[in-house]
Amino acid sequence: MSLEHMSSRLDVVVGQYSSAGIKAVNEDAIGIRIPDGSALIAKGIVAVIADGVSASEGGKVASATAVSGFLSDYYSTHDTWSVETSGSKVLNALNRWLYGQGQHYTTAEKGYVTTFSAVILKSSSAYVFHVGDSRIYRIRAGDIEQITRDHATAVGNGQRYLARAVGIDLNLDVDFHRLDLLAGDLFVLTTDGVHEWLKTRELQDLLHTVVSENTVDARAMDSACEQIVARAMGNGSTDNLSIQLLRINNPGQPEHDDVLASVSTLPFPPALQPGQIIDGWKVLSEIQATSRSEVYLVENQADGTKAVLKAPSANFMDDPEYIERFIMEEWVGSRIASANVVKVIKPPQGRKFLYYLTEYVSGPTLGQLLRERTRLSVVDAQNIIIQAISGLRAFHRRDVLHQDIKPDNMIYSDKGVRIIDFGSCHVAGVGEIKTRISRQKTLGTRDYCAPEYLLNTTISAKSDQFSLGVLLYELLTGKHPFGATYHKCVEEKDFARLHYTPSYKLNPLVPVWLDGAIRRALSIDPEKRYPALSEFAQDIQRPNPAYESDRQVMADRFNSVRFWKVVAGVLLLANLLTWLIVL
Amino acid sequence: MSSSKVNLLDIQDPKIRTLHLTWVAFFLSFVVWFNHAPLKPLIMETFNMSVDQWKALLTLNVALTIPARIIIGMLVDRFGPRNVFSSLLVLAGIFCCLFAFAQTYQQLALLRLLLGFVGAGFVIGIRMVGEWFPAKSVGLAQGIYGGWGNFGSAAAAFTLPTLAIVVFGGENGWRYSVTATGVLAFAYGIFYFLRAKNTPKGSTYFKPKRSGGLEVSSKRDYWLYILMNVPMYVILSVMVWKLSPAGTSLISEMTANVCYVLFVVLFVFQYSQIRKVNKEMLTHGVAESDKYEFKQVAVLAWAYFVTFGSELAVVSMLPGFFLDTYQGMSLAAAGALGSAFAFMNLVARPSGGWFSDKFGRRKSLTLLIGGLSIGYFVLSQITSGWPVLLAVVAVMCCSFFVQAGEGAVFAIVPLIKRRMTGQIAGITGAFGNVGAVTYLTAFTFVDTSTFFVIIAVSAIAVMFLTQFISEPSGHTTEVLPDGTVQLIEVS
Repeated sequence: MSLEHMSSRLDVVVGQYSSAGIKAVNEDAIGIRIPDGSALIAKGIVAVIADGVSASEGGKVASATAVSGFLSDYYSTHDTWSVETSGSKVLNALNRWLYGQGQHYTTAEKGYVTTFSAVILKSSSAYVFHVGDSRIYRIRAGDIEQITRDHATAVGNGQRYLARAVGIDLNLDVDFHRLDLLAGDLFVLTTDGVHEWLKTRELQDLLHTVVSENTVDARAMDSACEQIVARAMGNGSTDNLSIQLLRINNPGQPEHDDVLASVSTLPFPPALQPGQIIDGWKVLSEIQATSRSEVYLVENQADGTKAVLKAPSANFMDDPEYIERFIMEEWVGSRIASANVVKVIKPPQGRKFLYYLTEYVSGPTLGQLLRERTRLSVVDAQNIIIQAISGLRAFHRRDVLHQDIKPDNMIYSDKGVRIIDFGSCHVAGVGEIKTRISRQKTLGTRDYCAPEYLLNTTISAKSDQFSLGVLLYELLTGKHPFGATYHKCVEEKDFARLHYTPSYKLNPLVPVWLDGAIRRALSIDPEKRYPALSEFAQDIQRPNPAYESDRQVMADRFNSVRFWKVVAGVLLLANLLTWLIVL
Repeated sequence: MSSSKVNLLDIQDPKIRTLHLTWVAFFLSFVVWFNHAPLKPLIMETFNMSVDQWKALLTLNVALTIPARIIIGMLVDRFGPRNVFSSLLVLAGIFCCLFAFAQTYQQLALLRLLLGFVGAGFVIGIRMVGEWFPAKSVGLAQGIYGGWGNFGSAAAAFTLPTLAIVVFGGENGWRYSVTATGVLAFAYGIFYFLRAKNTPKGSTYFKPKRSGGLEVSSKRDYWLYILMNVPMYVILSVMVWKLSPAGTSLISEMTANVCYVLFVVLFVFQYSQIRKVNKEMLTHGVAESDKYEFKQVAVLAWAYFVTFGSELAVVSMLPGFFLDTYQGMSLAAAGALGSAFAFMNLVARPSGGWFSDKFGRRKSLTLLIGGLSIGYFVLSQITSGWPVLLAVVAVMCCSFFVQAGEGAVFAIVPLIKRRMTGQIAGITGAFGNVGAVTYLTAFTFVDTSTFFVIIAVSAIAVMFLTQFISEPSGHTTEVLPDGTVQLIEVS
């Protein structure tokens, strides 16, 4: 069960052509990749155009590296990464490499510098990455529109100066945006050798004549490209000329139906009773049944291994969104490898019903542990959270947010702490696969979820960090850091009014520096939390001097307001007495 | 770890505790909703009321329930079942006490109208029980919730006359007994707020994706759905017309006109909600896997119109009917006999579901509606010449078919479109209320015997309508003797 099942009907016909023109060397580079199978769904179709800067020594190398590097590296990024993440990461790496290569030149412009424009077509969307003065146009229903902005400044006497390009600076500023795809859309990528010598209007008219409805095969598209280049040459182009054309025959809109068609063939299992056998797994007992799913302990009839079987609730038998999520759960789980995350088991005998299996880990959940013991020792709590962080980092490395860190989703086994349940995970890359059904949003109250879920601000790995902070606090004190008022918070001002009770007030054994770490992870403003979980882990294990000062404790333990009130009161009394005596 | 059984005695289990808390809340809402019916002669005497005025009061009691269902549904989405049910009971308690001490007929009528709100409590609990119970036992849990809660009207009919005459006594006895139910509802509302929780610990309360209207899957169904909303406004307008100077002159021409305008506004609002929910479908169509036939919903709604609608109507007029037919019968006895109708709820509703499982959905529903039609014809023949016992038996037989019919309707509801069960149940339920208003409005025009005939005739019409139901597909799995679960091959 994975994305391989999902087939796309995204159908594009492409053509491209690049010519040195009147120049001796062609410093332009172009490339298009149309993968098949799962990569087409997860990653889409990529077209890249790059114009190596003539002033630089390595222009030709730079453009060629950028195009070939992007085409191969983009497809090797993780499937769960979003187009934006994948594209930006790859482009940044390329930029750094080109910049490094150019370091021995005295001026940056002389190094390995190139423009870069790419369009990625995926799930009825077009994603645009753009740096420099190459262009991307979109022709829709006969109207041409330039969808990139030229990063070039005119410096008089007709000369133009490239304001932004790949390889100039260590920091790369990339324009990124997303557009909807419609059948019939035509994308045109050009370098300045073409668009400087063809007015937009002329290009539009020309495209109208060379690309018709009947231009169906790649060869015809290629020849259309050649004709446009020939026209630009005819207009006196002095530069290298490159052009790429992508015509959308089918944007892949009904993809969601395909997704469903491939999975909805598996029926929901009926409510299972102990003793029943499903695909070779014998049901031993029911672990949990809620209105959303049913979880059973099962045993493999062949070899006696135990596993946990999670089945969807019949309540959602015809809810495509729920089914999609359910399948995604297993898919997410199977891609996360960590000793601290429960493993997904591939059913050895295959399956005839919709469910998934995870390894069986014996042991109580942290929730059960807390109910028994109220709170844990500082060492145990530190240990548990360190392991939880290691598990959670495995999620984050794959661009996945767990989103439901709470005591009941952690098992405390003799083999260590395991994070269970992938039911609330958010996967960046998959979030983009368009579904017509809007996702459910949490409305109610959750003691462990970060404020940003309710405030509708950006959710990030820091939101998981907040949950972890609540968890650690609870392990140490048995209480919620903000008390019962937390789950009533709805608006920003409610959160601002929250009062944090330091954990050492409830459990004197908690060191001050540890409370400092928790407090930072629990910042209402995500910006104030740790930038990375690794730093949080470090501060949990070793005292951070910043939080070690006794002043904070003194201030907390010694109520200064009351102290000064008493002082003022005493002084007032003394004054009155003196006054009376004097009188 | 028993799975599909619901062990009602295990109150350690939080979901069982929630079920008990919630059905009692619903029960009390029904007690308050129908606490006037068995006290008819006492109230009529105090206010020196005409029969027409009494009938108008009965109609007002169910009128506001129709729009209230829509509003309550939205509030539950927004605030969660716990807050809404508590507030509803507390408010009902207050209105109920005010009703008890009303000094004029106008005050009485206004408060009865406001109390109509409490009738919408049903939806809240359905949501609550749905959050707590897994799919395999939710049907049974909601059966218990609905059946035992509905019993509230019978309990009111049973106890209130005795309470009014024997316990409190005197001219104001009825006022005190109505107050008692109000205080009870008020206190329980607070208790419910303290004890009930929206979801099991650690779960999230999910807001439905789209609320305000039902998603349909074709343009034809869209218009059919809009059309299905029309009867509601028609009957509300007829009711207002009846109360206006053109009818019983309970409200002024001005008020009536305000009501008509209000109905138009409400209809436009509802239309815009439906349009919003279905906008996507109207422009892009809907995935093949997501299609369903709205006609199924429509037929079930009409079936509920004659079953639950007639039940609500009959429950509120039956104690009075016994009292009028058998001169010299005591008020307590009339109340008790009147409750005979609602009494059947405990067994009849589950039986209806069982029939439906056993003998086929369409056939069961047809036979049950046919049965209730005959039942109402029989009731229309009751005269003072009948022995009381025979009359009671006739009432109980009829009510068995009525409530079994309700059970059979709700046995089909979850099978139409699983993920929209809540909304489909909402529409069906709302039609039950439309039925009640329709029949009670009809009652204001005619005598009792004709009233029963009207129900019987409309039931025959609906019986023909039920033939349009297509049998929903059944189970796709079977369990072999060794316990292996396997798929049934569908050819």
